[in-house]
Parts: sequence; C-alpha cells; structure tokens
Amino acid sequence: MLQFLMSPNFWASVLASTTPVLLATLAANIMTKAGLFNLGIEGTMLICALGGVLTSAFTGSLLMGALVGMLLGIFVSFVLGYFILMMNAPMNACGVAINLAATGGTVFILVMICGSKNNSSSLVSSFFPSVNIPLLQNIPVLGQILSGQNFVTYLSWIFVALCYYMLYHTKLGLNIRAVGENEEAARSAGINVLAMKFIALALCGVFCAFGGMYLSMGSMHFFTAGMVSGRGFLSLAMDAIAQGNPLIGCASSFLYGFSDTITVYLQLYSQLDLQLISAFPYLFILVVLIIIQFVRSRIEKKKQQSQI
Amino acid sequence: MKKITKLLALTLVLAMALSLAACGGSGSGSSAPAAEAPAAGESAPEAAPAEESSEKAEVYLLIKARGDLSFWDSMAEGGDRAATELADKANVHVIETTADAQANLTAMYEAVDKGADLIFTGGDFLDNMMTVADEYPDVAFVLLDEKLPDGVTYPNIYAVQFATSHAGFLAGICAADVAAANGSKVVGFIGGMDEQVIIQECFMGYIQGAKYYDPEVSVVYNYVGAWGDPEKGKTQALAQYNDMGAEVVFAFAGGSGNGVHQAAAEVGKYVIGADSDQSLSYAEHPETQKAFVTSVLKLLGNTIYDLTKQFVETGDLPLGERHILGLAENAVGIVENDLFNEYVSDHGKELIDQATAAVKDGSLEIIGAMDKDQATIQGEIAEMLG
Repeated sequence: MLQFLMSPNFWASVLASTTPVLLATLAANIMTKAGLFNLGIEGTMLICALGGVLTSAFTGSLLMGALVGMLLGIFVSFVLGYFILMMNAPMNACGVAINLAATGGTVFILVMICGSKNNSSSLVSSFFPSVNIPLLQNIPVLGQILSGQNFVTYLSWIFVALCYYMLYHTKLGLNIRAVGENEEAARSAGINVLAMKFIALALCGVFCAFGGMYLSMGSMHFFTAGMVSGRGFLSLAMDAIAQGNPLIGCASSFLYGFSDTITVYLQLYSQLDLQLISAFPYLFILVVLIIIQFVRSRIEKKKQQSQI
Repeated sequence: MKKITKLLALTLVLAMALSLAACGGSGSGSSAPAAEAPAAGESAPEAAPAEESSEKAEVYLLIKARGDLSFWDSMAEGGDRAATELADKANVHVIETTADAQANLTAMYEAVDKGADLIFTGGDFLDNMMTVADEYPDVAFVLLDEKLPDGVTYPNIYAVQFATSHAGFLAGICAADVAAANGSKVVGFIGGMDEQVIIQECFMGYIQGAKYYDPEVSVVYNYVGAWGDPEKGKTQALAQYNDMGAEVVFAFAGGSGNGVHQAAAEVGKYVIGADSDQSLSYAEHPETQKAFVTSVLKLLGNTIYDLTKQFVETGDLPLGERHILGLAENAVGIVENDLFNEYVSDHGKELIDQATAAVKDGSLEIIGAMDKDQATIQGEIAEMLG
C-alpha cells in the first residue's frame, strides 16, 4: 500500500507542491517577525499570479513579467501597510479586503483581457523553465527527485537560506525582529519602526509574488481563476508552527507538501475512505502543532525552573 | 506626499469597486444589453406593439453569464440559434444574471412581468424557479440539469437532466482505444469532488465504456476535492501518468482540470476534456492542444432549441414531468474534431457508432448514477472497477 514512497515521481511531486506553500510561508514568517499579521497573502499571490502572466504575455519577456509581478506584490503589501500602519486600520479587516478584491478583481481583469472567466490560455505568456542540474541529474533516483524541478522551486530554497541569514545574522534582521518583539523598546533604541515594517512588507510581497507566479508561470503555463486555492491561508498555519523561523517554516511546508501528495497516491494505491484521506494533511498539521506546542511549553517550564 | 496618499486611497477604492462589479454584478444593469443582443437580429422587438408580442411566444433564457465556454455558453448558443431560426414565431431573450441568485430572481420576475411564455434556467436557480412558478401557474418553465426535490411536482415545470454517462461511455471507448494504440491497458479519471452525482454519473459511463472496448482495461481515479486547484490536479495527473501507467486521463474537474491538461502536455500523453471542446481554448498552446483526444459535452443548446421549437410549434411541453435525455435525444455527445480523427482508430470509431446505435435502439443500457443513493453508487462503481 505504501510502495509509492519508493517512487522518485512521488518525491518530485512533493517538492513541487511544497514550493508555493513554502514561499507563502516565508512571506508569513517575515510578517510575524516584524510583528504584523498579513491575512492578505492569498490575495496578494493571486494578483501577482495574474499580473506576471499578463505582463509577460504583452511584453513577451519572462524577466519583465517576473519584475512586474514582484512590483505588484510589493505594491499590494504597501497598500496594506499604508492602511494598517499609517491609517491605523484593523490588520485583519484589511487582509480580508485584499483577498476579496483579489478574488473578484482578478476574474474581472481576466474577462476584460482574455474574454474567459476560467483561464488565460488565450494568451501566450512566458514561464519559468524547469532546470536540469548537471551531474546531479545523472544520479539515479536522487537526480530524478532533485533535478528537473522548476526554477522557482530552487529559488524558493535560496530565499529560505537568505531570509534566515538576513533575520538572524544581519543588523537589518535584528532590527526587524526587535520591532516585532517590542515596538516601543525598538523605537527607544533609535530604530525606525515604520521603515522596518515596510521593508518586511516589501519582502513579504516579493515572496508572495513568486509563490503566485510559481503557480501561473511555473507549474502551470497560464492563469486559472482562484488558482491559489487556499495556499495563502495554509501558509498562516505553517507560520503558526514555525513562529517566524524560516527554517522551521521550510520544514513544515515540506511536511504539508508531503501529506498533500500522499493523499493523491493513497487514493490510487489504497482502499481507504476518501474523506479520511482528504482530511489527512490537516490532521497532520494539527498533530504537529500539538507536538510542537507541547515541546515548547516543556522548554518554557524548564527555563522557569532553572531560573528559580 | 499628500497626493500620493490620495492616489493610494483612490486605487484601493477602485480595486474594491472592481471586485464588487465582478462578484456581485447587478441583474438589471448587466442584463439589459444582453437582452437586446439577440433581439437586435429581429425586427425591433423592443418597440413591437402589444398585439404582435401576443402572437409571438416570449421565451427567456436566464443564464449566469456567457464566456464560461461551457454550460452557460452552451445554453446561450441554443438560445441564440432559436432567436434567429425561430424569429418569426418567438422572441428569444438570453439574459445574463450573474451567479447572484437574487439577481436571477429579479430577472425572472421581470421576465414574467414582460409577458414571458416560457422560461429556461439552470439548476443553480431551482429555488427561484419554484418560487416564481408557484406564483405564475400560466407560465411554462424548463429547469435544466437539475430535478425538483423529491416528492415535489409543479404542473408548469419541466425538468430536464442529461445522462452524461452516455457521453462518458463514448469517452471511455476513446480512452481505451488510444491507450491500446500506445500499448497500455490503463486509463485514468480525475474528478472535481467526491460523492457528487454529476461526476459519478459521467465516471460510471466512462468505466463502462472503457470495459466495453476491452474488459481487461483498468481505470484509475482521483478526486481533486476542489474545482479551482489546477496545481493539485496536475500532481494527480502526473501520478496517474508516471506511476500508474495511464495513457489517457479524463479530467472532469472544472478549473482543476487545467492542471491535468498541463501535465498531459508535459509528459506527452493524452487527456479528455469536459463541458466544451476544451482543445479550442488551447489554440495558443499547441503542445497542450494536441494532448486532447476529445471532450465530453452536454448539448444543452440542442435541447433548448428543440424544446423551444416544440413549444412554439405545438404549444406543448411535458410540463410537470422530468426526463433524462441522453444519446438517443442527441442531448449529450463527444467532440469529433481533427485530433479525434487522428487519435481514435477506425476500430474505436466503429465501436462508438455501434454503441450509439445500441443505446438508441435500447439494446445497450448504460448504468448511470442519477436517482441512486451514495451507497448504491459507490457499490456499483466498485463492482464496475472490478
């Protein structure tokens, strides 16, 4: 029943379906670190997914598409930032507003430009290529899994490393974390709180953009209405596990990718009830969350005891 | 700075307005031009005097919106055809009401106020139809692709359902045929949601068709669990193509099916579409387009045209009844385009003709999922899969 775990295709699919969630989780991580909560990740991804496709279709250039997608991501995040940081609007309401605007707005623009409410397949848009890594691709099994993934998948791994390094090993990261931990203290230490938050929002926008563009310009070669399909919201759960740490975020996204792909294969290889199978990824996340919370509280207790 | 602030605020307001326009839409606002569009082909029906409209039947089609390349487009196409070909006997109005049930209800009341004789709408608006049909017993209503709740009958509603199992059967033959040509005995199916009779109906036909071609063909299947998740559809299709050895996958999953098409193009295998000739939507993506063997269709347009014609010529419809239309009534079918002719062998085409004829003369009965409870359906599917 579990023989598919030996299949390299299975693991390649795991990495592929991890990618968009991983990027969204990174976006959520950096928000958490800066003391913000961005419910609008889902919508931002959707907007960037469409923006990238349309720009690359009209300019014929992948680079332009990616660039405009990124700028759109930053722009949408800044709109959110403007409202919650400068106008003191409630964070969650603004996030929801972005999601609603994105769900309806993308379809609206899709119809205006492509004449279809379903997808943008009437346009020829560029897409990120799959990358075969020399040497690695010749190794059996491992090569099949790790090589030949989409460019954005590799990019997401680089982003995780960079993000981690930035957060924990640079002054900028320290400042961002300080702002997130205690805004007043950070301000009294002379940190420009607003600037730090906007920098975090910009990074969040970039990660969202690549998460969205992976879906519409990597895995798929055109935009489909609603194609983010809850991955932005899932990233918030992943971030709850990671509590802002990109490495744990990466691990939990991978766990999600694994449990999501396993549902596909369980349907094919087992006779288990479908309802049970589809609940699997979420049960999985719940169990991991409980375990992590348990471990955390144990550590917390030990700390307190040692202090006494 | 202040200017930028204002600009930002304005942009967001605009974005909100756009989203509202796309989601909600207004029944009367968007319907007015749509109502006139088919009418433009007639002799100025909006200005027609009262006595003329009493001679001509007023037929209203209430659809969500054109442009879905599927269900609603097929309905609209039937309405447009009736509007031109039956122009001397009926004023046919195709009205887009958006997905908003309230807007649909408003449009339906407007239609009866304007003297509608016959109103068509889709199953999504069943409740509206029951409400209005109750108040206007003299108006005839046709409900498409849905039945009335159990035990409820209206003397003025005719419910039409489509035996997509018949179309699925033909698709199954095509799939098994193309698989056989490539030396495989495995065909795949990817559905949008589990335990949905609409999907199971088609799936059951598909299995029977594949087994009709060759009893040894095995069918593997997945359910995406969402209508708009192409990424997951792609993962499932790749699993079926790469690990299960499926040569052809039938994607019956709405927007999630796009991922299946993409996967087929990437691994160089085949796919069967649903609801419309989906290969047409990939004119700009030739590698995806040529993965299509065929697509399964509900020929709503045919049905609407036939019923409108019957109504205006005889003034009679089987109101109060419910029929399931299939191959025999030409209400379902598959796309037979150049790709189909290229991929499906003569033997396959022969079997398709043979099966169609057998269904028409009643010697072949295709088992469907309609009117059965889930336990029965699941049991039958398990039995069919063997």
